[in-house]
Amino acid sequence: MVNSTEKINYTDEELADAHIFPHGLTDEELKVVDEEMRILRLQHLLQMTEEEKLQNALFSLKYKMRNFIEEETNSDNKNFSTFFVEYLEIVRKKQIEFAQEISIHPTKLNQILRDKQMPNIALMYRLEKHSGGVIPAIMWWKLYNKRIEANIKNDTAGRELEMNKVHYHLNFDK
Amino acid sequence: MRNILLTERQTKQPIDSEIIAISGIDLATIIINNNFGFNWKREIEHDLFAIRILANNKIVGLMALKDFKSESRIQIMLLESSKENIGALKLYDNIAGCLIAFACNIAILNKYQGFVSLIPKTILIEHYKKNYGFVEFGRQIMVDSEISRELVKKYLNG
Repeated sequence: MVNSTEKINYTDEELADAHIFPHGLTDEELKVVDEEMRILRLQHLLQMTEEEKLQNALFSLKYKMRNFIEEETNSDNKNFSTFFVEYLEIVRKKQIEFAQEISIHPTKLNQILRDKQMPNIALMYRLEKHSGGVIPAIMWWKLYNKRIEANIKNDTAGRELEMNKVHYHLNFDK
Repeated sequence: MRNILLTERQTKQPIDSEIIAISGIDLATIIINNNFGFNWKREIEHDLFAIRILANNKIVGLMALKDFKSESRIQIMLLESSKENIGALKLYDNIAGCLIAFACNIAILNKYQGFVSLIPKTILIEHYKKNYGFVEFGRQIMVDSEISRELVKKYLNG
């Protein structure tokens, strides 16, 4: 039984379920443990294959995308194309080569990457396949959708322009 | 971060809660309420996180992390559930699991392969292995890659 500061005696299982305890090592002991970890970890990193490095970077991008989608605001002013550009950097592809790989016209790809043209769902399916399934199409869709939502909320001029084209509308008493 | 798998022990229902970064000032306010027993003042130099219940703003778990950038890893320095969340009569399940998964999430975002380590009490090693998939790595234990992603998936709906 690990000593607890509590008066109640908990089982080891209960204590471990609720805590990660302070290491309790002296400074000297800690130096030894830290150095041992440093060496082991660096060896571990050296043994990483190129495939593992690529997968590592892809999952990092996926988690960044997820965090961005869940954020209520867009403080970094990111959008679909920001993440798409990062994807291309991770897979180390030139636009021409990548356009061939996913069967899209290079000009269209360039326009989407520069945020000059909207992506479609077909592209999102192709991106899912290209990433080996790591980044699902639905995440690309949610990224894109976040931008559309922001546009709808902020596009007062467009809203007014379109509303002026409505010649009749329903009118309910409160 | 919201969408975490904190559940009420008795009803097994999910509770609206979030993991937030906290400052040393926040920490002082939290520990003054006497719900935590460890010496958290020592952890001020590290990155501090807490689980907060949205309905009542109560902090039910604390965690201190250290980012070893040159070794591409995150180390959990300390983790504690609040006093009413220890043992068979605890109010909420998964406090430690959610915080450990949050550490994994950071390690994935930082391109560390999800590598998270900790220096365990010897007597508790088997628990961390059995419940979270940690493996021994020198005198520390660690999770990375698929295990790390599984923890994020399970506890953070990742």
